[in-house]
Amino acid sequence: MSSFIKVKDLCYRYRQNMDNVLEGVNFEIERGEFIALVGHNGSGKTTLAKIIVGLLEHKEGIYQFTSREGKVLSRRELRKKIGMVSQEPNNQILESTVFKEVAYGLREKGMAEPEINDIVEDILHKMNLYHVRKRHPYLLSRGQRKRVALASIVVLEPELIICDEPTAALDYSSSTTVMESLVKPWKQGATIIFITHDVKIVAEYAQRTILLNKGQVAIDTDVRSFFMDHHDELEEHNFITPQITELANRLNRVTGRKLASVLRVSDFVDQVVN
Amino acid sequence: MSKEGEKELLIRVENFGFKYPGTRDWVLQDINLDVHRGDFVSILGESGCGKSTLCRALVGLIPHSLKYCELKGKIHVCDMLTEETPITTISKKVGMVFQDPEAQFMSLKVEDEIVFGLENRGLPEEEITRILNEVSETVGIGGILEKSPFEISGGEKQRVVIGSVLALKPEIIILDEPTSELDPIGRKEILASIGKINQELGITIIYVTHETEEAAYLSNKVALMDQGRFIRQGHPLEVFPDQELFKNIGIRLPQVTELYLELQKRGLQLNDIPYLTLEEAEEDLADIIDSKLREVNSNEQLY
Ligand SMILES: Nc1ncnc2c1ncn2[C@@H]1O[C@H](COP(=O)(O)OP(=O)(O)OP(=O)(O)O)[C@@H](O)[C@H]1O
Ligand SMILES: Nc1ncnc2c1ncn2[C@@H]1O[C@H](COP(=O)(O)OP(=O)(O)OP(=O)(O)O)[C@@H](O)[C@H]1O
Ligand SMILES: [Mg+2]
Ligand SMILES: [Mg+2]
Repeated sequence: MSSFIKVKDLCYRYRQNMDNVLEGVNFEIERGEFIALVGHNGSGKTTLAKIIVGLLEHKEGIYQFTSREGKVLSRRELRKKIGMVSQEPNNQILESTVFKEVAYGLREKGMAEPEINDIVEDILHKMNLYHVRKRHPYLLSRGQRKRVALASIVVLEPELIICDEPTAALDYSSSTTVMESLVKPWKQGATIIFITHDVKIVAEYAQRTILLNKGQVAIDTDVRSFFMDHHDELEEHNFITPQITELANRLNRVTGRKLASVLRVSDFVDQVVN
Repeated sequence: MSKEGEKELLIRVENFGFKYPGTRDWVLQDINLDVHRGDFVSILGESGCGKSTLCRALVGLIPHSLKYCELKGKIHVCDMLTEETPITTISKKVGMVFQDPEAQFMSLKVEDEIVFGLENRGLPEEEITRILNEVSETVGIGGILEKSPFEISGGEKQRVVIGSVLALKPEIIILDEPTSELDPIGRKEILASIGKINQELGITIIYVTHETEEAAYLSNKVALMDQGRFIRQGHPLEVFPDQELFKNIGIRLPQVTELYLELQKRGLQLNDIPYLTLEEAEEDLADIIDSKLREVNSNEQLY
């Protein structure tokens, strides 16, 4: 059977007379992966995400989304299987209160009210939004609005969740809340793609990292190899390593010793204190 | 306004409190803050604690563009009382980069976003061109000047907005998480430029961020906000070692500071002062790592 998602020689431009924004993108994704999509500003991440969810239509190359039953889905069919949280949280607001906003998709699905109530209250508590549930979504802080957008997608339990910069402008504990809200559906079998510039979040959550450069895949590998083996290439692609990885690399250089595979503070501590 | 020591006091927030229309709770309470000319103040705090609200108050959007809100206390900015001064007067002295970049766009072309404020000031054409080139180099938008600001990527939008404020070189620049969607290298470079105009031109910066690593490098003052109140203000070196404080409000310390505190807890003999920067950590740890790993290596040889 073919891969869950297959992208081959995919090209895209916004208008006829403009340059290609995606220039022959290739990768395959299996069900159950947890992927960070990274790359410089304007590298094409959001554009690629919009093609995958079916918001933009490409004219060149292949994009296939295969259902559990092995059928390649049409753009209309696949949209129902994917949830996307867009980069700009204001684009997504439909309802007049936070509660209704999160309940919207469930109501559309025809779920019974008591059940909706339980699910929505639960996620609002988890996302630290319960106290603003009666507020209009526009009258929230930006970070709160972003979490509302995410909550309203997660409750629908899509097969694939794509989050465009879910932790941008969030503090650490809110970022953790947001990422954990993706880990939960992932553990239940969903596939997760998150777009980010936050190196620490990549180091802590991603299994695999795909780096786009000028509309092409430049690096596609598991996360440890991404930071350790490709360390020297990252900067030229406008990416960096977490501060702790950088420290380990520098110390290895000056001492000639070998701290191995430091992605988190605890990796460092464990190797020095025995 | 009064002078404290050498430096001139530019902003004084006195017992400020604020309540949005139609909500029950005060969003800001008992806010006191002094900012002197040339300061680089970083404001940190959990999502929803009131950082953007305070920024809006500092430029006078609160109360001027919001009806039926409630206020307590006073805000002085460059000898003006914000409540009594029109926004247009305040904005001659204070430039602000909002958290929502789209809210700030006015033109159909990126270039015009940068040039607009300069033309309003009646600067000569050559001067405008010079500034445009300089700024688009700094924020890296040379390739998109002809595009519509609504048809560019999220990070490109943030770059444009930062550029439009930098172009005007106001006395005070308020940046409300301006770099959250920038790629890490772009972020480093643009922050370095902001640090530079702070150092070299003495432009006062108020910077809302969640990145303690940046605050540690750049600021001479950090202010921690929790649920609408400042719970701590001071030099990064005074404030950052207090790990509990940061944990309580969900803010993460620089990884090197976390490392210092963890290694110290495990009984290693380190510098007296916690690391704030990579360089400090590298300098202090080089010998320790060398001998520690030598031990490990020779132990391995025994087996
Ligand atoms: N227009 C509004 N009307 C009513 N309440 C509001 C309004 N804007 C913000 N709030 C509330 O005021 C509080 C502070 O919001 P503010 O935007 O200042 O937070 P913030 O610290 O900037 O958060 P973030 O880090 O998410 O941007 C939040 O609880 C928010 O819900
Ligand atoms: N609606 C649009 N019309 C024309 N060009 C666009 C449009 N949206 C984006 N672009 C351009 O396409 C390129 C890729 O944009 P995209 O939004 O996919 O980048 P990105 O990788 O998500 O960047 P960022 O990290 O800044 O969000 C950019 O050069 C951008 O200027
Ligand atoms: Mg994007
Ligand atoms: Mg804010």
